[in-house]
Amino acid sequence: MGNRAVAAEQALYLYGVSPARARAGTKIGSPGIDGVHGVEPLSCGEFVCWASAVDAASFGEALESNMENLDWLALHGVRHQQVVGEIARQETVVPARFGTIFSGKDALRKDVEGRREMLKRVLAKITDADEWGVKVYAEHKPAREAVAASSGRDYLQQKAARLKTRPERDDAELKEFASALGEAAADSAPTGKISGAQPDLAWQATFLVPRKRRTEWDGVLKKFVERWSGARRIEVNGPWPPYSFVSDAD
Amino acid sequence: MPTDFEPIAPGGTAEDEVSLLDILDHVLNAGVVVHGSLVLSLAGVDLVYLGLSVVLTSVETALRNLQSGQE
Repeated sequence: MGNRAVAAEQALYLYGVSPARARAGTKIGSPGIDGVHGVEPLSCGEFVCWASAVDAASFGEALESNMENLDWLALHGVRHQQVVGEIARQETVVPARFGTIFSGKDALRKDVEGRREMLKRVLAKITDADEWGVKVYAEHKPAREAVAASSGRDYLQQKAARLKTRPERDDAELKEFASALGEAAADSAPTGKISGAQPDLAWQATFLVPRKRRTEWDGVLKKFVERWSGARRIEVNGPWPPYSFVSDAD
Repeated sequence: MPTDFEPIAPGGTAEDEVSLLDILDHVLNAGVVVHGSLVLSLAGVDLVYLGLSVVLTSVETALRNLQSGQE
């Protein structure tokens, strides 16, 4: 915000909430969600709220239509992750839902105060833990894919053959994998609303993994990487801020 | 890590960078529900799920925007 005049049309975009003791020395270098305003720690009682100024018209009133604009969503989704990721590398943080905006500091503080107990519960759950995404892909069989269909019937036969070899989602080995990962993790959640349509993706989920259990977690992944060599490929992404494990429902 | 798989790091170097689809998967996968003074929601985001190819096109544009420098 700095030397910009705080005009009536400004609002606050919230990235997440940390315990108040987190504040000292934490600096966020990534630009805010609008690419202009910096991210500041705002004191909110027992908590620190990470927020930046945004234009109320373009981020508030236009948010719903912006969410359907994929260019907008991709750019701002990345900015959101850059900020929340930078906070999470330094502090325990409860990520706010993408697109959370307040009219000002007073409204933000009032809301956070009303959620004290829930925030403390969630903070206890996510402290010293990271979110990790895991995907399982069926390995390609290039020879079959490479053959060009010589006729419509040929094409349909090839397609049927491909579909036949597609792994079942309720496959027993996938269940075993999910269960072993779940034992090493503190929690799990479904994911893949955006990327779920990828070809050959057989299974995916996201997990909350305590840092002190990383060895056990890595051991499960290693075991299945070896067992499925040539048949299935495991892809792991992370560490993410605990986006998928902070809902009110808990 | 003593393993033969390497996690893809969000915000890592360009080579091992996580895809934008993965970023959106996680960023849009809930998060604490807060109702600000302005009423906001994820209404409409379901439209994103309709076409992967559309998302991919947008992702490329977004990456170009990011690479060409932010304001």
